[in-house]
Order: sequence, then C-alpha cells, then structure tokens
Amino acid sequence: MAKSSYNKFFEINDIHKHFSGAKALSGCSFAIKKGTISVIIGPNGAGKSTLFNVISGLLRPDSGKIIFNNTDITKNAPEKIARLGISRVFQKARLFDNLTVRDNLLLALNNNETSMANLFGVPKNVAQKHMLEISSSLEGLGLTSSIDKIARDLSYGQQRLVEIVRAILFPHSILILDEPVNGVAQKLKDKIRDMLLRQKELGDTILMIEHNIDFAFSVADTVFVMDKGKIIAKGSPTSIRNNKTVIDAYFGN
Amino acid sequence: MLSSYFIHLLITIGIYLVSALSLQLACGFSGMLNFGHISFFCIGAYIYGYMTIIGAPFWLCFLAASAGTALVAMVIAMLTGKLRGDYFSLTTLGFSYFVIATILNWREVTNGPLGLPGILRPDFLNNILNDDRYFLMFVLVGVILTYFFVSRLVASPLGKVMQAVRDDELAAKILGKNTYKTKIISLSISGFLVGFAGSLYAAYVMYIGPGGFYASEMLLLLCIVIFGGLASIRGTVISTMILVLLPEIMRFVSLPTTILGPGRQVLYSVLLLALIVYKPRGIDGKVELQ
Repeated sequence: MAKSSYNKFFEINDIHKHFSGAKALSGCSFAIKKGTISVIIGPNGAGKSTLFNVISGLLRPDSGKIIFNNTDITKNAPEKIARLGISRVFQKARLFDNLTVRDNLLLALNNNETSMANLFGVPKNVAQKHMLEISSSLEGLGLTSSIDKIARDLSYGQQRLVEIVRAILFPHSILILDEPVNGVAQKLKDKIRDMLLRQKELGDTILMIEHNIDFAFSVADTVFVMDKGKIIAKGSPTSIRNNKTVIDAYFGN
Repeated sequence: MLSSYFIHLLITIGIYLVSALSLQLACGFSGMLNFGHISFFCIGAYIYGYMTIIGAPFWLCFLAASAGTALVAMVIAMLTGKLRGDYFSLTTLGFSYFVIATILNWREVTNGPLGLPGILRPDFLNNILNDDRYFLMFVLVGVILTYFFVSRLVASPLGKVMQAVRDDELAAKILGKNTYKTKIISLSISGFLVGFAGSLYAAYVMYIGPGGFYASEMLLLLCIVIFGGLASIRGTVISTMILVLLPEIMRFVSLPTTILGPGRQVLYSVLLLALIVYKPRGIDGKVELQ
C-alpha cells in the first residue's frame, strides 16, 4: 500500500496531445517522487512546454491522465489545479506589471478574495503573518528595498526572482518551473539554485524544464529526457550524461 | 449664493463623476473596456424614471435602478467573461445598440422615441430636492459615497485580484484566482454604480429620451477615463471637472447651437485621439494603455 501511494504523488500517464496534425505529446509518461527535484531536458519542440500547459490545465490532452495525490486532475480548470497545490512559473516572467512587488506576492498568499467574507480585507493578524512571510522570503535576494516598486520597473532578472518567490509563497505541494534561469545573469542563477535547493530541504517537490544543462544537472535528483513528445530516458544526472540514446538525441551529432 | 448655471454644472460634474468612477472600476482596474457603459447608465435612468411614474417609493426607485443595472451587467459579464478583452468590448458595443433599439420599441414602458416625461425627484422633506441647490447636495453625497467605496474596493484584496486579472489573466488563474467570477463581480459593481448615476440623471432632468444615450455619448466617458489616467481615481476626478467644463467655454463664444452640439463631439474625438497618441497615460495613469 505504502508503495502505491508514494508512486501516485505525481504521475503523468500516457498523455497524447496534437495540434492540427502535429503531434506535440505522444504517450508521455513518468512519475516523480515527493521531496525531489526533477528536471526535464530535451531539444526544442520536444513538447516540454506543452506538457506543462497540460499539467496546469491550460491545455486539455487528447488522452491520458495526470494523477496528483491519488486524484485524477486531468479535466480540472487551471485555477482549480493551482488550488490543489500545483504552483507554476512560466517560461517568460509573468508578473502583474502594474502592481507592486508586495501586491504581486500578497496575491499568492491571499485566497478566497472573491468570497463576501473578506471583500474589504483580511484579518489583521493574517495580514501581519503574510507580511512576515514576504519579508523573510525576500531576504538575501537583494529585493527587500524593491518591495514597493512597480513590477514593470524591475530588471528582467529581478522580475524572474520575484516570480519564483511568488510561486514558492503560493500554497503548494509541487512547484513546476519552465526554464527558471533562462535569460538571467550568472549571479542570479546561483541565487535561484540556492533557493530551489533550500526549498527541497524544506520538503518541497520541484519539477522543471531547463535548457541550461549545467544548471539542470547541478540541482537535479532525477533527469528526464524528452524527445518527440515522450520521455526517452530517465536517471540520475551522471547516468544521463553517459546514456548513449540521450547523447544521440540531445547532445546530437 | 450660487447661480443656477453654476449649480447645474456642479450637478452635471457629479453625475459624470459617478459614471466615470464606475467605468474606471471596470476598465482601468479590471481591464474590461466596456463600450456599453452608457447603456448601463441609460438602463438605470429608465428604471428609475419608470418606477417613479408608477409611484414606487423613492428609495425603491434608486435601489431598483442600481440593482437592475447590476443584474444586466452581471448577465453580460457571465456571457462574455470567458472571451478575450477585445471581444468583450465588441459585445458591449453591440449591446448598446440593442438597448437603444429596445427603448425605441418597448413603448409600453419606455414611451418609445418620445421619451419619459414626468419623472419625479425623491420626495422626502417636503420635496426639498425639487430645489436644485438641495439636489446638488444629494448628488454630492452620492459622489462622496462612490468615491470612497471605489477607493476602498480597489485597495482591497478583491481589488488587487481585479488588477491582477487586468494585467495577466492567465497568471492570475495560475495563482488559483477565479478570474471569471472576479470579472463578473467587477462588472456588476460597476453596473450598480452607473445605474445609480443614471437614476440621479433621470431625477435631475426629470425627462429622459433615447437621444441622450447613443454610443456617441460614450465618447465623453472614455475621454474622462483615459485623460484622467487608467486606474487613477484622483485623475478621474480632475479630468471629469476639466472635460465637463471644457465645452462650456464654447458656449460663451456664442456659436449657433447647430455647431455647438456636433462641435462637442468633434472636440472630444480630437482630444481622445490626441491623448492616445501623445499622452496615453493621461494625467495620472497607473497603467500602460494597450
């Protein structure tokens, strides 16, 4: 029993998705373990971002299932999937451009804003707790002084950081990141790596797409290699580095 | 003593201000560019007018006008809430023509093209509100309530969700926000407020006809919101005053009325174009115009 429940923490089961003839996902299956960092690598057009859009409910798959905490979440709406505990960062920073950093982060912590109960605000003690969480999450990222800045006035790297912090603050049990260090300076990459590793220490589960192989292999427990819409190899970073199929498909000749 | 002309201007500013603030809520804060805002105003005015004529108590007239308009807004939001922004705008534009057509043809209630005469003002304190000076105070109370309500709302967690939906609906969904419901709430509240503005208007002029509610009248409201700056409440107040008073200057140049009327439209059209080209953020805009 214990084994099966651990297997069903997060499982992608034979997902197919095609766009007017072109197959984006063809029988993609894998499972990830709680408390680990898994990285999906693969050439452009392998279907990685499509897979993430299917996971977060933005795209409906043609067939297949996504099991999360032993429940089939495949047909749920994006906001429902999010509330079940899947927090996501997009390929390009998607902050709420005209809101401050503080408001962007508060939006991750507040919930049920549309219920009449907290139409005009949250209880004071809850608000205080949220502010504490926000300030401690910004610590060490060099963002504390930017907390009241409008998001669009931040540099791209800073926006990326805020977005990752926002995804971390959002109550979740799995964090899915689409190329978190894409277009980000080396110094920030290190910060993001530290953040992700600290999250893992806290028991968080992370699934990410990453093109930057060095970054990917430095954080991953498990690497999945995706090509032509399915997983073609799986293993530890070291084993993937030496895998013949992978070298042919990805590192290419 | 305030001259009656001055009182008239202040009341007009007040009514436009409530309408503009409610449009700002939908458009500036929630990203729903509602071209049908003027027809919401119209619906509020007609409900109020009809209710007073059939002799309903005045508080019920206001409530029915605001709540009725909110209900219409809610239905529109439910039907269009899953559409992309530009489709929403087109739908609301179409809706404004639908409203005019209904008013012209539903004669039993609206009296068709002849309009509704004999609308009453609220009848409390010995009909004191029939005096424009007191009616001005009544409008002023409405303006102040609207101002504080909207200010408070947009600063609340719900208001922040509205702004998040405006900035990036998909990202809001990913944070678990029910964006569909948010848009429905926002447009309904906006409808409630502009329905109230419409009933103030009907009570003030005491006669309404379909002529005042054509889509071209939307121009001034759009000008106010954009000139004031999207998502700026302070800017909206300033721009309402400026833009309502602006055409009054033309009055003093003693132009014939045949030029005065269309002249206003031309003035606002040119102003709107100039704003979009040269100062898209208006006086105090918080949001980039897209």
